[in-house]
Amino acid sequence: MKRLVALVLTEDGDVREDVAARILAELSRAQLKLFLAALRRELKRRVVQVALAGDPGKGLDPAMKRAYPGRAVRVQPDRALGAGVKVSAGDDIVDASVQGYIRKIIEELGST
Amino acid sequence: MKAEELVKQIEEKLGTLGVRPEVANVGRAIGVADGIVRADGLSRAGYGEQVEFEDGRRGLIMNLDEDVASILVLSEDTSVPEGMEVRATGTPLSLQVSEDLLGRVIDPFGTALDGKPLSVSGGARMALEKIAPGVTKRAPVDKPLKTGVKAVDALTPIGRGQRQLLVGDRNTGKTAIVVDTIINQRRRDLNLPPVICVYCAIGQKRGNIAAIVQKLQDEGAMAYTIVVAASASTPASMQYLAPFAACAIGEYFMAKGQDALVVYDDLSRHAWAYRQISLLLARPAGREAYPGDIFYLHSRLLERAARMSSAEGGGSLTALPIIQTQAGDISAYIPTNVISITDGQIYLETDLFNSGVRPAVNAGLSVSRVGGKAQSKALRQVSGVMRLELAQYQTLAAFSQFGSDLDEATQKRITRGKRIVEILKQPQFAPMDDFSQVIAIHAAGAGLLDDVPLEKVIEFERRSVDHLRTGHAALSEKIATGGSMDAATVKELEAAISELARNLR
Repeated sequence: MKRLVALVLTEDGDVREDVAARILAELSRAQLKLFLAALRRELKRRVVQVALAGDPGKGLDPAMKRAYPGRAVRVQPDRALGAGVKVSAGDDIVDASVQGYIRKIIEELGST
Repeated sequence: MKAEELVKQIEEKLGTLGVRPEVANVGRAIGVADGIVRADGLSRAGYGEQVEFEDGRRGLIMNLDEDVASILVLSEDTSVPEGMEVRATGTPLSLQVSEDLLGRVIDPFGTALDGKPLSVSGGARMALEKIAPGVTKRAPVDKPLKTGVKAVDALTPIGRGQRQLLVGDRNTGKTAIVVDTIINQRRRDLNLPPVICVYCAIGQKRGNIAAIVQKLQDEGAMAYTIVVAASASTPASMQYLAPFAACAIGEYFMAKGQDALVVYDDLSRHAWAYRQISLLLARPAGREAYPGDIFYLHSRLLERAARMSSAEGGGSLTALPIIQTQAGDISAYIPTNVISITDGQIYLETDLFNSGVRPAVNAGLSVSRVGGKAQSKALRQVSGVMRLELAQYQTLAAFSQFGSDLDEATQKRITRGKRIVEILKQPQFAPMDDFSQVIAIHAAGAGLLDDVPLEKVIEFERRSVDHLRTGHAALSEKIATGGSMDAATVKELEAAISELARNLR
């Protein structure tokens, strides 16, 4: 399914309509379910979600573009983080927030 | 630099958290069934890697498909809600091992099961799965692991670092032999170094495990023993991991240059647990529905038993796996697999057990491929003769019903064989030292008991050790060293034994 998703999506995130039409016509219902799951995963992978406790500074956007080239960056405020930033790119999460730090301390205290 | 600048620098440093961001590779549960979680994401996770669920429970990646990972839930509670986050840890399964575990009953993750608090300090973190030591790091098996069971120590001796299988139907005394072996390590026979014992109970009833632990406690054996238990009521995942945890504990002591013994009771149930997991993971089923890698499962576990070279510390890990057969069929799939992996087997037979021969060791089907080199010289000297006599008796035993119709030589062999069988009987929880074994076996094997009535053989055995120790102290001391006996010593021993045997006629 990964190969089909790669075929139907362009680098910019657009859909190749001829390929999409063939997929819709030829895949069975079960295969379509798998294709949909794979497509959702790929779309999620292409978008970098940035949660920020405060206001995004000017340097954030270029820094994200450098770190995740070719991916769309969506910034959302999240006051629950306390301070810092949490970046989700596909199934990778980089947590540099106070919330994450406190959670880690609680986990470590719990395991000792 | 001025003092104010230093103060400012320190204030700045204290003002920041100085925390490195946490980088995690995550997935989400998309399907849950029978203790197996299918999760998407986890693109960086590896096969056999430990993962952590959102609620702190742990899992083990068993399959990696194109889009999903199949995870074995490693807890008694295997219910995981769909959508729960699961994180890759980047580490294999491991447990903390130190001397604090001695005397304790734990599960495969090192959690105490005996109701007492357990804090493992120091020691080392040992991986459950590890590559077995290579050939250059090993040394030949040369030191005996005394079981205290005459039939085993004489016929199928076990060396430290050996893998010796105990195979037989249910209720034939397999566990009794290993429990006796553990109890016997209390005695420092032949001045051998002490042995740390790990008893791994797989898929057994909790009541049975409790009875074994109680017996070990009563005999003072828990001081040097660790029990790893995954009872029949625990999920298959725990039963699958239990022997690997036991092996990891044994390896800790081996790495410290000590001798360790690991008992796997039993690997038949371990194979059943692995079959269950494999079928739930939808792996292709092979013979008897076992997965294709069932041989590798046991070979990679048992290959970890070794005697290390002196450059590697000189420690050893002896493995005593147990296999339960059905209707005495040792040619079934799992028994033949494990027989081919191990360095020998002790076959226990139901018919022998029911006819009162206990331990019910079938001398013909039992073998030790490397233990002979580790036997004490005195015992090797006397057991060779006895083995030959026993083999001849077993060939002729079928004719014994003809009684007086047989020629004199055949009758003699049968008489002697009966006494050998009698002398090899031994009650449970009464392991014997090397000295007592040498006397009993030599007496029967050399024909010194031929004139002693069969029912008095046990009495002879009971009185012989005291008779020699009190009446022939110098000779006893010489034999007790385990060294080979010269002709004069043998003659003196035979004279002493004959003296006692005469009194029992």
